[in-house]
Amino acid sequence: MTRQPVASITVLLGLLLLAGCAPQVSQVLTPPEDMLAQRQFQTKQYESADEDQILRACAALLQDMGFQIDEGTSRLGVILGSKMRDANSLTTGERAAVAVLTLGLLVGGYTAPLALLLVDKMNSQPVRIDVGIFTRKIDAEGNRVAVRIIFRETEYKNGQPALPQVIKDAAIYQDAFDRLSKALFLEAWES
Amino acid sequence: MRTRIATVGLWVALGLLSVGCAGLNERVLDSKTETLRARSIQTRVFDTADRERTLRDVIATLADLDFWVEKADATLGVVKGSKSGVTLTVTVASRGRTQVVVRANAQRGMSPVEDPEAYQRFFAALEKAMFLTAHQID
Repeated sequence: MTRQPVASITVLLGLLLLAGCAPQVSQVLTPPEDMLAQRQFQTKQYESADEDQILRACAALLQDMGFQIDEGTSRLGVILGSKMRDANSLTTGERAAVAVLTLGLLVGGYTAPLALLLVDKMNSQPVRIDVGIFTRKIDAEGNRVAVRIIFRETEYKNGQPALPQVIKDAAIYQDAFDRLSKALFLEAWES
Repeated sequence: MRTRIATVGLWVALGLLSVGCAGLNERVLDSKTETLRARSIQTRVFDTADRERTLRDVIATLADLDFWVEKADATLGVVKGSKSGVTLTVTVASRGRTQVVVRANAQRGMSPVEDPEAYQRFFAALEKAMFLTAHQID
């Protein structure tokens, strides 16, 4: 009699462990709650009938922001780019200063544990940043083009990439669109 | 007697080795999958002649679902995206003059996704982006 509850608890625990592993695929394919909000700050419309010109401006914008262009499918209005960056904002000089300070703390004896806190500040923190730009004509006459920009970030821990995260900071997108507007203005003047 | 034990041991070892090995044919051709069933849950027909617009709607849907678009080819009619270890390849083909056929294939880790619910969710999101109703293929 006592074995049954034990067995069911074991099965239940096993199921719970499995459930915690990864979301169901159907969940992955369900629109996120903030879908509309995301779409809004990731999209801007431009008064232009020339989608190709906007795509070219987007490619120039990516280069201005230091991205490598990985893919471009102009017929479908797609540009993909990526870059690797160091999330540790300290300069080489600052890192050397931190190294000296760490050494001092180590020599200090009882201050040695504090040195552990500073070790991370000396290491680089590689981060991969991906960008996807998607354009499409929107109104019936085709005089407006919607541009959607999506950034995502992948952190690396011990050389292994973590799960990529879509960047949801609206200010970053606003900044990118401001630059695009300027680039479009420049291109219009250049040609 | 010894040779008999050795022979039995050998067969048992060979038997154990073959257990759990997916055959080459099974791995390469996914021959255990029921093709017709998979096709019906992965495919929908839409009443539009505009294949390229459908491809753009697929791209927009993947972006809305937080998928990362990795490839898009208008000539082949293929869009590929990924999210949380799930990879999705979507193809769009013309069917006659008034319809397009959209087929989605999902994979997670080392297995194909066979859950109809997953595909239903994707097509529900695509329907909204296209403002059209998806039909089951006949």
